[in-house]
Amino acid sequence: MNRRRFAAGAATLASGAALVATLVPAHWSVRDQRPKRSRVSVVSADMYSSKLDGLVFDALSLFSLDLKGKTVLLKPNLVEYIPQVEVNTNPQLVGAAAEAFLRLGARKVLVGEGPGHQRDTYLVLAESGLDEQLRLRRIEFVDLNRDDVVSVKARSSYTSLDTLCLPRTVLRADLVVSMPKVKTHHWTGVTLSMKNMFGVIPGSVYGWPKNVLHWQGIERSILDICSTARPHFVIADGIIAMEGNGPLHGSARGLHKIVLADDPVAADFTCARLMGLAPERIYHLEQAARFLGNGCRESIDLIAESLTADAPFRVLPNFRHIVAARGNH
Amino acid sequence: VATALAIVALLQQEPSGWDAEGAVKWLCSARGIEGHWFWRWKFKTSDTQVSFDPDKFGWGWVPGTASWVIPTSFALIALQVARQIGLSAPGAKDRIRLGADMLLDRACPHGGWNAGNSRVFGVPLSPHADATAIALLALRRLTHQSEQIDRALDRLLERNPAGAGPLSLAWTIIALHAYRDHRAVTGEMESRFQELERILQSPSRISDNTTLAVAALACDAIYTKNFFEVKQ
Repeated sequence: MNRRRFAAGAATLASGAALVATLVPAHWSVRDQRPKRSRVSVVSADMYSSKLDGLVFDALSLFSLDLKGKTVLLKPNLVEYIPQVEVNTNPQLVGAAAEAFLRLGARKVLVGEGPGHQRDTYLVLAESGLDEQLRLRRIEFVDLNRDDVVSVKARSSYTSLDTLCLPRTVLRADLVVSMPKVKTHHWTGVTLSMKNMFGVIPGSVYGWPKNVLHWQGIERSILDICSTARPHFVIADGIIAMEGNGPLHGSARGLHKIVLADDPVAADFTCARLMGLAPERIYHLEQAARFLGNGCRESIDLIAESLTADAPFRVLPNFRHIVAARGNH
Repeated sequence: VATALAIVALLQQEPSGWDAEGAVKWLCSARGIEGHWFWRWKFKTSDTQVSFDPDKFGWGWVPGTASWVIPTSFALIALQVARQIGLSAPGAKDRIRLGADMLLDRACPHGGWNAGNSRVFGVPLSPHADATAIALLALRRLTHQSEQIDRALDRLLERNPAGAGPLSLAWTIIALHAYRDHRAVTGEMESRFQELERILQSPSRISDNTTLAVAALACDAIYTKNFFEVKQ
């Protein structure tokens, strides 16, 4: 074989490999992280009050988590403060969750977040009321936008990012708890426990609003982030949720539920069903159910209330297709 | 952003002994992704949920991403500081003009600046204090559109200093200092600086190096030199 034929052969081989790589579904090359079964608890709560302490403790106890000596990181959804609008995970729920984990044996509970748009994290912390709640309960807060970072190989390849820079606090925590606000989202359909993990991506590396990931595709980025830093547990705030033009400018929707789960995919499928949406029609949920967690009802044990849904949440016209047919919630 | 901030810092502290010209040239050539015709065309025809004029582009946080208010503002400050000491690059003047136009285009409908856009899905966005302050610093010598400047200053001044986060407060002081001759600012800086001094006396209020550094720069602005003030 002469040099020219060798070069031509190598080029053909490389193009072929590149073509195959783009045609092969991303989840084929990923380690299956799905547990055999997932547990989800849906708890009713009328409003935000100090009663949440007992409610969350009781619900969390049902999971019999081994928390002895462990560090728990709570990751609420803290986006921006807009007066009179329920945008963020309610501070009372975050405080109740912190208390419950400590009572159940956790050595330390931290709260961490890296807001996407607002660079002044401590301003959002103060304006949202979370600062006061954490001071009251003596819980430490970590600004994940400016934490020390570690470069980690991405565990899936939905984006072209081979590595992700992640905050040391997230990687060191024994238990990462995603605490989303249940909302519709104008780019991804819904923002639940998996989308909430966008907030662990440090703005100091990726900019505000983590625009690198937007250009890689928000839904694809969610999948790479969650496969690489999979949250271990979920406590979703659906007491006052948001419908319409979420995540910032939608309308309040009283769902009056808290969803706890030991699997982020099961949590998000359940929340979507509660919202009257069809989770299998939401790209990042449908893909995540192939390798990251359980979506189908048969693999999810509901360990508290059963699943009931009201009228579907309002969505923007570009997401009409994700609304479930009546009776299929 | 890193290059722009390095230019601002080094040109004022150590103007020689490093490749300042190369840095300025690189900054001039860098641009938000709207600098490419394909994306401009896409934003004009199909991707229209975010309202802005794609012909007016600035700088992104990271190469290969869209233009945002803060990186554009820092780049504009750096290029103006470089120009003041006679350092420029081909096309710098046009690049500065285009960046300033982008900032003016993306101002919030009620004044000031959000992270990068003024309206998304038809909803007007509210200004952020730090983005507004940094954009004001960039535009100090670049625009005669006093209405937009006045409204942005109003948005900054209507915030209660006691409720502001330390980072926002520090940037507000740096910006107000640069506009100290403006009629709206007279007498307003003092109360904000007192609040920052109060915060600095209880170190637990500041938990990260970025905020601490910007707070130090705010003190510098008041007592010695405003590093982000573009002089005439």
